[in-house]
Amino acid sequence: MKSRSMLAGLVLVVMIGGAAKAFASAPPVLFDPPMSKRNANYAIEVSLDAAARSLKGRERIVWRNITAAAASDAWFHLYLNAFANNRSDFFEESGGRLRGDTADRKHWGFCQVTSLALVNPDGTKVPLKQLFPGSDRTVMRVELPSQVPPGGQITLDVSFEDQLPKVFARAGYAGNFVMASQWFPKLGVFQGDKGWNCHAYHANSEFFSDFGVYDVSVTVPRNYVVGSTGVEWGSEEISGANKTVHLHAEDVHDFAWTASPDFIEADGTWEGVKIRILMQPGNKDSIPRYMAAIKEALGLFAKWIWKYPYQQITIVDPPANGMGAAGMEYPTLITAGASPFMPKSLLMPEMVVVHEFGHQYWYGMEANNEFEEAWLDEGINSYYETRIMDAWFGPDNSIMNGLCGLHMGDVAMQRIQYFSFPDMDPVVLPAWKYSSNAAYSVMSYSKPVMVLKTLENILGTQKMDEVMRAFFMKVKFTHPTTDDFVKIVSEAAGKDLAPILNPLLRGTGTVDFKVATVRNIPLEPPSGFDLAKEKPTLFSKDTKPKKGGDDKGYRAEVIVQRKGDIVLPVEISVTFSDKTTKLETWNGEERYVTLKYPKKVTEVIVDPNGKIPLDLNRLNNGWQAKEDGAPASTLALRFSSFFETLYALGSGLF
Amino acid sequence: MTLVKAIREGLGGKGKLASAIMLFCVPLALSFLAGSPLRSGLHAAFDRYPASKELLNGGGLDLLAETGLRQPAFWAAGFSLFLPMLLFSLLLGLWAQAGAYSLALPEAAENPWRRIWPAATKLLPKFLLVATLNAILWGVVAVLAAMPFAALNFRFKENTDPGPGWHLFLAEIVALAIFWNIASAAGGCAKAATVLRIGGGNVAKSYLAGLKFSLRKFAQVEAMTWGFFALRLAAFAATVLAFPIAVTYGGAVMKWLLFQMAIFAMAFLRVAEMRSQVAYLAGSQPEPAPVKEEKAPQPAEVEVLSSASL
Repeated sequence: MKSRSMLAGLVLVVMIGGAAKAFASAPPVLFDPPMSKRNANYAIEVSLDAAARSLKGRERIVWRNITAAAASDAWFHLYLNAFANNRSDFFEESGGRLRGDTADRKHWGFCQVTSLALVNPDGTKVPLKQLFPGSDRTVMRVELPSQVPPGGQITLDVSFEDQLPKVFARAGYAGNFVMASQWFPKLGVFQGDKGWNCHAYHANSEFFSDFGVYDVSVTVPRNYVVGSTGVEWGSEEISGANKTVHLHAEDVHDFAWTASPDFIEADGTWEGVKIRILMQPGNKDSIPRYMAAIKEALGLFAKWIWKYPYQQITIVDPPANGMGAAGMEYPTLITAGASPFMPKSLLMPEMVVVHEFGHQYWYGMEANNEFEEAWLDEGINSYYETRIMDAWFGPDNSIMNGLCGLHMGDVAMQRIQYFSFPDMDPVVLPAWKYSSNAAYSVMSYSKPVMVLKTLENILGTQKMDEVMRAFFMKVKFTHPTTDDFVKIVSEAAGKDLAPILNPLLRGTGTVDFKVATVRNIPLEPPSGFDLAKEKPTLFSKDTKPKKGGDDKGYRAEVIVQRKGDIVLPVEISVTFSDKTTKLETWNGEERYVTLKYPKKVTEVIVDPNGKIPLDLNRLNNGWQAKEDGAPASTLALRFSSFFETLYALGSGLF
Repeated sequence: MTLVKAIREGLGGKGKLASAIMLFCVPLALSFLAGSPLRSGLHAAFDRYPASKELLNGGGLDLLAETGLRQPAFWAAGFSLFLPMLLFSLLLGLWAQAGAYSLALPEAAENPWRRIWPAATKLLPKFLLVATLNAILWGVVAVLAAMPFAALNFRFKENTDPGPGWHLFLAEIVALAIFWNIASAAGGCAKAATVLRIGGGNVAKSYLAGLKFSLRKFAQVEAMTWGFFALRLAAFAATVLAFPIAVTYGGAVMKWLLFQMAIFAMAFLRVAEMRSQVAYLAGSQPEPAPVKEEKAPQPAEVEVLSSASL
């Protein structure tokens, strides 16, 4: 251990020397004027000890107080400490299992701050004492010698050492693949009178930070290919077998990098945006799939929301034994996930690229608090994922495009996930307070898709696009909340959407319309006294009932019930025996509505155009007079053929 | 006997149809039985609801998932007979094979429909024993053969690049197919030997004789097995893969009928393979040594006494 530390120290000295040389030429200016407030800026020098899978680095943080209240302390995230032991909040909540991956309990990780000092304007340093306010050491606090007034600025020097865990949840190493995410001591978000927003790293939560400029120099073995947030603006070989790569990003709120000697690089461009794909050799056949997906997403986001403003997007393909790093978003860098086993008709690689790229908008630029309101990025982004996949492959094929003759749309897949946990928790909830990981997932991803898809169907797609664009343009490079969302979309829609959105986002109510009763009642001939006559007279026996439409002698009564608590307007299609159809609209406010017709009804469908994907039970939305056995028989035949194949195998026919 | 001649005999001759129909009916009947609860469940769940039309074209998977969530017992009940019938297919398949092999004997060619049932029933216990011996032998071989693969798999688990793992997986699939056909050919020859009563009616001896034959004539037997296997697979793939999923009930029925034709073709080819095995094994048996005609002992000259001399 000692010799390893000495070596790492030597590497750092060499690296800093090299870095000093590199800093002679300045990093490029990417955005002038800046797109964000840039109040949390980082200059980091870090070296990778590839054998020990450790990082050693130092950072200079320049933080400006952009609130109206003074700050007397500073709070940091030390995210990697979530993987330090099985007593961290992250481990206790996840049990060492997350997103389909299991922690390797032999290869833990940590982030240790070795020195921390406030840098005075004259360059002198004041050491600061580290305090750990939480139940684990994923959050660190320091008391500042003097308050930082509104508009004031401080500079902090931090030295740190990271041990990377074996990839489990996003960060770490797998073989010689390194995913350095959540790797440096990072400030929380100062929220004025509310203090610092700096939560522990929870199993179900992601992140929250301020925008800034990142200048990062990474020293790695010479044969490693490096990918990162931002752009690479310089690289130099330093003594030994190492090189230092200089990276720069502006108007971002996080910085991730990856390195591996095995990456295959594929480049492309889309309207001036450089696309860089870092692929595992065994997955190289999936490069065209990634490339097509990123171009599709770039194009449709530009059309619907805003043209991607950054110079580059990097897509990282993690290795087979590092899939815990897959499917993750960082500013201008995303990780996807492919496999040679993936059939082309199963569109998971495309979907993951589209989804993670969408986060450049919903998380990257609309930088909500993922700890507290994860739906604002995951949910809105999942909605856009379905929009793009549907536009690309068609709404019925956007996840499964003819796999063994089967097909399924992205919305249908989200719907399946949604109705497995529709009402345990509300959508808006701090990530660690959900009843389970599955509930977090449903409420942050799937239910918001259902909500936004329903809103789209209520407003119309064109209006929805206007509304969402208005929301994005108003909140980009800020930290919006759910309240902001409801307010801005209501303004843009020209009507108060709070009565619809608040119960759906803040409550646990559900939507379930049901065709409760359909009665076709034969009309009886009139009997008794006819009071229309001058003198009450008994109806004549041969008086026939009034005929209604083509159907003789029937009236009909249809009762549609609202079983869920959520009130939404809904369409009802009623078809009669004369083949005519009437489309009714019900505001859904009462528990049920009774519809009466002077003729026989043959079919009733609530929400015939599928405008309310939130409806928990689509089967009870319809009724038909004549049973139609064709769908069940068709399905039964397919199952029968499947059974027969296996029995043929069993009985030796193959 | 040459392989070509054996295959020609396998494809010709009488009694094939009865055997093929018997083999064909086994999976068909079992799938019908196993599918009954699912069929009625699906009708009960979907017939009244217009939304179920989505199921026609291979969509509506969310409806199926929804049904399962709403009625947790729905799929369990629907599939309740699936596994028992799968086990039963092993037994019934052996029974049908016993019938088919017994009809491969030239003397059984007449009145196949009358002969096949009792022959199958009579042969079933022997075939069960043959199948058990074959399963044990090749099971042991499979475990031994899988060991290096398992070690390789373990190594690839830690591999960062999925490429070699993918190639290993493909190699495993090919190896499995080769292994499957070797075991199947050995079992087939053993069944043929049982039918031919090589080993004098002793099943173990018949099994060994069949196994020995399949190893001695390895190339020819494998060529025959692979040839018929490829044809059966082609017939299956032609209906399952070549035709897209039907989007109407009528289309689904048509596709199901095509599928039945493919299964029947497979059954026919399987029967031809069995008969070829029997013909090849019978034709490869050494001709019985010509029996030297020994002079019959001449009766001692008996003086015929005429009654007159008495």
